[in-house]
Amino acid sequence: MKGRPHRLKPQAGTPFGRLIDRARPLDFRFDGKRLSGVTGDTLASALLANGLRIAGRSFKLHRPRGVLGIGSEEPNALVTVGEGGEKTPNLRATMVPLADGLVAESQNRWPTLRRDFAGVANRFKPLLPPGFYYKTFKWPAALWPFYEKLIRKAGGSGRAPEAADPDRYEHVHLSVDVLVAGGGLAGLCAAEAAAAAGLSVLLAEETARLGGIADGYDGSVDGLFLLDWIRAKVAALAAHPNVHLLTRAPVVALHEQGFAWVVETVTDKTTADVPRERLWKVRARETIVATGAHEKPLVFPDNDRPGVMLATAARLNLRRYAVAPGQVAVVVTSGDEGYRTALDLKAAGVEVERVVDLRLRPDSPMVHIGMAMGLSVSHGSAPVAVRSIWGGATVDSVTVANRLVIEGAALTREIFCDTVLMSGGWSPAAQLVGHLGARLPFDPAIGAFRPADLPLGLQVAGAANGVFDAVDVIEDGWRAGEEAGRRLNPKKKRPQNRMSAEFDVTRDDPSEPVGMLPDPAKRYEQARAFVDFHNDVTVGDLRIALSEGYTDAEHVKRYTTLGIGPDQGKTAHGNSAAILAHLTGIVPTEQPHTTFRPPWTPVSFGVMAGARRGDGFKAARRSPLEQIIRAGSPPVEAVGQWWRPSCYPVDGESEEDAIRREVRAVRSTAGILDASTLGKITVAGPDAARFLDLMVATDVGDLAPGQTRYALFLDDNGFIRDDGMVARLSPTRFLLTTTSGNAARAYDHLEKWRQTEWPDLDAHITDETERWAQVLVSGPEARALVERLDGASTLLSAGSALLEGMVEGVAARIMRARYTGAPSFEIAVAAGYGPALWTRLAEHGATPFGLQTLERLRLEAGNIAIDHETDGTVTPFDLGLGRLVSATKTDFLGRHGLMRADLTRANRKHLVGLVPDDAGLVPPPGTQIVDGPSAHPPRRTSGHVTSSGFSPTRGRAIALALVANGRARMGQTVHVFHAGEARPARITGTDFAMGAL
Amino acid sequence: MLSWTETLDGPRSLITGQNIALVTIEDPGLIEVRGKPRDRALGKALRTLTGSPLPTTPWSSAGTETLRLLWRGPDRWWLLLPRAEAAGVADDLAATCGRKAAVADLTGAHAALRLVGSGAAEALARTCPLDLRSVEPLQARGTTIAEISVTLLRESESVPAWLILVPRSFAEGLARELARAIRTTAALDLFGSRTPPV
Repeated sequence: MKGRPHRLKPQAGTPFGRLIDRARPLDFRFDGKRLSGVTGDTLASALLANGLRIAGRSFKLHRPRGVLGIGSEEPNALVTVGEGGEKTPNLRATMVPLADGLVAESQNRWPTLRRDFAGVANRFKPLLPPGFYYKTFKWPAALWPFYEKLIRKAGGSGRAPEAADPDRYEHVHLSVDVLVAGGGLAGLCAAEAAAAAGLSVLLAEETARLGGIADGYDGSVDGLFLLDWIRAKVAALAAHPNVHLLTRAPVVALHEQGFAWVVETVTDKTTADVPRERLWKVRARETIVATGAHEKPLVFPDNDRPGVMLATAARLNLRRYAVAPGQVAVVVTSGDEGYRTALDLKAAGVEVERVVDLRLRPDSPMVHIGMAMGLSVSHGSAPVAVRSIWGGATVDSVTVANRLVIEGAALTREIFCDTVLMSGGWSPAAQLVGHLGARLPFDPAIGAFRPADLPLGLQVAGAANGVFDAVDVIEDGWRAGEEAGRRLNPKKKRPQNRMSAEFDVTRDDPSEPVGMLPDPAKRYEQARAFVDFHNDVTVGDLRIALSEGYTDAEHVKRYTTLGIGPDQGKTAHGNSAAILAHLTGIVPTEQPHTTFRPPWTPVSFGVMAGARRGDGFKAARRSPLEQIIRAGSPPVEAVGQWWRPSCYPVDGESEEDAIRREVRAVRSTAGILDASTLGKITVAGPDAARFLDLMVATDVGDLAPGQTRYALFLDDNGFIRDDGMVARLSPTRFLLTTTSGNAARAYDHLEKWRQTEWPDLDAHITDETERWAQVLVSGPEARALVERLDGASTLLSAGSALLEGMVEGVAARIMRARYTGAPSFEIAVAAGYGPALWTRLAEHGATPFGLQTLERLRLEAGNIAIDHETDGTVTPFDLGLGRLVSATKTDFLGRHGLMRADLTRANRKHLVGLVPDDAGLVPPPGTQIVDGPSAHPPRRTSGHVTSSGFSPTRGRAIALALVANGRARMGQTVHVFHAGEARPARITGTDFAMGAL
Repeated sequence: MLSWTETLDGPRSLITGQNIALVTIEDPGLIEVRGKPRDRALGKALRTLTGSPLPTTPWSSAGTETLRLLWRGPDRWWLLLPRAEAAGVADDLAATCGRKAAVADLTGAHAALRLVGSGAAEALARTCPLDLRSVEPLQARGTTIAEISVTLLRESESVPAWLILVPRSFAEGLARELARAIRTTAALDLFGSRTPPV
């Protein structure tokens, strides 16, 4: 509903509109409509100034809602801001600074805010109790996807943008002595005291300004007006070399050991290089939470109508933006804040019909000031109804009743007004404390949760600590800062921060901690009295949840959605606790709160990802040969963090053609493969052989220098974790090779066992993976090719399987290998010499081949590949590699695991060859194998394909498979499920190259 | 004789700003020494090389302008030296360090970059979780930069200068991430004097 514009006319000498510059108007769009505000406005204040009282629709019932609060506690005015990829949903309008050309949209309404189709949900409120979805959409279960679609469309908040986010985000690390969360009075004083103690301080404030809500109060400290006093403090802090001040940067999460997340919105975003948001990963030795407090709403029927607003929020809107909440106001309050607001309204020319004070006999300075200033006040009364003529879009009157009735019906009185301002006292906003697992006890004196037992390294100060008067807040801030100094710097002497005696800030009497209002409300009234505005949770809903057995606070939360959503129930949790305690009849101090989890306010996915997106998502490792082998942009595949060429297509070849050509080249002449990524680890020392014999299932201690052996590494369960060559370089020095993806893990694994189990062994492990560039030369002509390298022939003539010496003038290792099924040599040189070595070999006529070609070659040879033939549940005996498990060693890793009954039973899955009857059919790895094709589902599978491909050498498709009891079933026919069809295949041996067919 | 290909295109300045420069340097010679700190033969062999006792304080270092021995673990040291000398020194050390210690020439396994200037702290704040204030001159730390494991050596007292040793395969990614951080024009102005409004 659009009313008259609510911006006050400029008046000299009034405190209103201190943040706005009326001379600099700004144009913005809300729901497609052109509106104007002024520099300094927030989106919320600009909407109010334009007379737009409906700012959003509620989550479930689609009730029209107006702006309720002033900051991040806002549950109603959630908007989507921006366009295209920069669109951000669920922003609180109170936290969005107005900018020229800003585009905002309301949420959860269709087609418009005023005429919302789903608003009929509100009519059916009695039919939509908590748990409605669980109860209603259970049958038939098959229709759930359909229901879900409908529910998701009707409920919910803003929509995520469709386009990719064009902006940059970054993470920044900062280590400080003290992190102060919150830049209000308490935070500033805490930072001042900590800095004075010689500590480095990061002060992070959620809003764009420091000082918190001190501008809502009058008075002076140290002879200065409160705001001027704060300005002086801020200037001193900014100039302090140990203090870093952040604004628009809430602390969103506290983690263990002083690690905190602060999300800063970067304001001077001028070029594409500047990030939009910045995540500060702060490591602080001490943390001071000075996050202030949120004003509690009062709970009475229809307390959610647009036009009902928090009293302090209304006052701050006046003072900051010169925006009046309406023309005729009623203030309902349980404490002194309502009087301050009423006086401000009066000064601004808003008619204050009445201040309705819930307290029976208030006797505080503010009350007397208010009465002296001519406010009309009712004591001991409470609102019982809000009347709205225009379908709930306005406030037209509020009915108040006596709270204390001795006999008969309460005296009621309807007061006509367009605005109801409510104040239910303060609720400390110390949710951050809960992130560390601390529980906040309920304090009945303030009707809210208040931090008590704090974890080490954490303090709370100011209103967050339940200290609400400005003077006390200042003292509490200093106390926290000084305490941090004492803890971190116990010896240092420091000056005390003390106020001069000259201060004049009116002290408040405590608010009356009221929960549910009116006290004896009828059921249908309770069903309209909102506790959680964002999620449409009323007193009646809480009662239903309790009567259905959900008595625990966490259960009530899940059942009613109380306290979830973008606002995380900041305005709700104090009231809901009081009401739940009242309804269940438990002692209020026993009432627990639900878990406060990070983040404090919603955080964008962009800032969480930071630079870790696109090509920065994960660092790619580059082989020393990268520039040469990737020069022709061959197809690549991920192996761990490496990207290895699959094959090297030439002249527009397809990948499969390239692989087949490369296989034929290796089988007929010689090929070269970049094997630099293979793990290379040396184990050296007098006990190296003993250590390795404990770590490796295969006998290796008996190797003579220069000898190599293919070996298996088991985990302690007896399953294969890796395979590789073990070579003895010298009596006290061994070289291990591991698969590419396992290199780092293998090194950690070896170190872990050496350090924890056998620390007395003199064996030193060195990861040499990055040191060597390695080229695999394979094929019948491999030896001839290698011998053309300068110095290699002399080396090879020694005949050992592993040779160290000079090749082409540089130190090299040459190791014989047979992985491809063809005679092969792995030549390793220091990484920087790799490109030259590769070039030399290629010049001598070797055909480069890629990883897929290697896969095909080893498949033909029937050799296993880790993570293809193994999956963490495969033993050496399953693969027919039992000969690699030592029969003589008394102990090695995995030996005991291998003895377990299940690992030795006969019908385990065995590795076998598989030849589909259809020579062209390549069943992909993972294809299930069944014995009979006609059996009805569910079919028993007898195994699965582990590797497969077309063998250019044999001219047909071949596969390796793990089949139950496979070795006893040679020659039998099984069926592979391919494209939904069972196709026959024959079980064979695994060495296809040697004629297993 | 095969020719050496530098990991990062040899010595050159990758990026320079007003108060910062990221420079790639030649792949350094690197030797890993493993052994017990109390091993006399090892201690003697290394003292002969560096002229000072074996560094046993975590992350401390010893050595000269061209040769630096770095604590890398309770039984592990890295010797940084010109590449041309590495093979010879490794052979000598292996011969003199006694039978209980182990020496491995790792030259080529790590590339090196140098970050110089007063802006270095800000560039590192954007990429590295380490508390730089805790690092004394000629001390090192094992840490991460842009989630890549690196060894960071604070080189001198007068000018902020950091030597970054990074596994060869990650060097290019690291250089790209660091360059990106340096190019970010929004200054953090750590502990600066910006006065936010009240």
